Formats: sequence, C-alpha cells, structure tokens
Amino acid sequence: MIYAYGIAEPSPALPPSCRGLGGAALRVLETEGLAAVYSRHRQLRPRPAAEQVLQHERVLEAVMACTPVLPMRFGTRLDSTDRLAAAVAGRRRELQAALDRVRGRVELGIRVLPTDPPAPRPPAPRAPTSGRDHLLSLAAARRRDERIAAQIHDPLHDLAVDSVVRERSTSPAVMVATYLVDTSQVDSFRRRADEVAAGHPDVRVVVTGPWPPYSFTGEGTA
Amino acid sequence: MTDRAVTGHEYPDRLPAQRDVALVEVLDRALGAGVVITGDITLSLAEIDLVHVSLRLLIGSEPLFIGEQDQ
Repeated sequence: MIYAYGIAEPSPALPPSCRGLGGAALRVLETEGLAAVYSRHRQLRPRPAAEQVLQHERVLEAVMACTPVLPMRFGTRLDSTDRLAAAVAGRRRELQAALDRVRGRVELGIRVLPTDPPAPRPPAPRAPTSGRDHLLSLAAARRRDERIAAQIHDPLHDLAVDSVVRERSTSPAVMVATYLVDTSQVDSFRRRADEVAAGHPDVRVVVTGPWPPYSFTGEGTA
Repeated sequence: MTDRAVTGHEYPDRLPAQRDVALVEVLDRALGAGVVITGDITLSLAEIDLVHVSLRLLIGSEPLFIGEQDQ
C-alpha cells in the first residue's frame, strides 16, 4: 500500500531525509513532469490522530524547503504506485498550473479570537426581554464581528496573492482566514498583521505558518 | 500585538498553548484542504468531527502565549 503526501516540482533534493508515517522511508515517483512523494507500507490505517497528521505535515514542510509542493489531504492511500501515477497523470495540467501558482509562495494563517477573558460586549440599553430582542442582540454581535473581520482581512488580503476566509463569526473564533503570500512579502504581512492587531485591542490576532499551501491547490472548495 | 503559532517542525519545542493552536491549524489544513485523489481518503467523518470539536473547545478556553518571537 502507498501513502501519498504531496505533488512536487521534481528536484534532486527529493526525497527529504525525514521519515514518513510509521517511520517509513520517503520515496519519489516522477511522472509527467511532477514528483509525487509517497511511502510504502505493508499495512497502514491513517487515523486523524495528532501524531500522524503532524508527521504528514512535517514531511510536507521538509519537501517545501526543497521545492514547490502541493500538499495532499491527509489519509490518501492507494494500492500501488501505478495507481498514484495514473491519478497524477490524469490531472497533470491542473496540478502543474497549481504548482506554478504556489511557487515562491507560502500560506499564512490568521486566527482572530476573542480576548481571554472575553471583553464585555457593549452593554445593551436593557437586557433582552424577549426572543426577538435576543435574536436582535445576537445579530448585532454578529455584525460587529463581521466588521472586525473585514477590517482585519482587507489590509492583509492586499499583501497576498490569494486568500480564503474560512469562517466568520463562528464561536470562539471571530475570523479564520488563510493567505497565499510571496515569500518576499512575509515580513510585510506580519508587520501589517501587527499594525492591524494594535488597532483592535478587543481581539487577539494569531498569525500562523508558513504552511505548505494546502488551501491553494486548486481543489474544489471544501 | 500578534501571537505566533508554530509549524510542524517546531511543534515539540513549544509550550502547550502554542502547540494547541498549531494543531488546530494543521488539522484544519490537512483534513479540510489539500489535493484529493477521489475515492482514496479513508477517514471517517465522525473521527474528524470529534477531533475538531474537542480542539475548538480547547482553543476557546486556553490563554494563548504572547510575546515569543519566531527566529
């Protein structure tokens, strides 16, 4: 059985020296101008346990250090390298286009969270006394969160090639978004995130990454 | 002031709060994004949902580590 980690631009630096899931050696299958990074297993049940998913991620970070790569979703098992080659060949054009898109770029995440403990919301003139009042106050809180999200997202999106806003106003996060950023712009992006965060002391802004570009592989929206 | 969470390689060396954020970030990406070769993902949806739910609850209650700068 084959476990696949990502589709990369061929490079003499592949495969990286780190291990894959279950300590398996990493291998490379080159086909149609693309390099699929995989490992071979007698048996493997990929479970979304932290350690396995982290190992999948570590492999991709090691690959990303060598060459542009499109991460595969965790859990991709195939019967053989022939199946892997066929899958890659079947999507060669779009995979190549997606690789071109992420070359020289990284994914940075933004997670906007309420402060801890949560800052008190501006008090309503009186406590909600009816179902309708309650819904109106929820709607007002939601609009406020969406305003904050726009004020934080827009200036960051300006420094990015692309972005995906994953969630708005979903408790506990105020906003979760991810950005495809030129490596030359990463410092500027972080500085701007600092500036934006300073302007919103009522929330906490967490910058994460750089990540392999899971969110920008051209896959249909999840 | 922004907090910096960590990537997979730095994970073991960081404090628990930063690791929690990093893990949610990795799970969101590795389970919810990335290239999909149709029909070969064998995860059960229930497993994914449980992991997401437990970690989201954790992120809601744990204070995040402030101040550490990435090198």
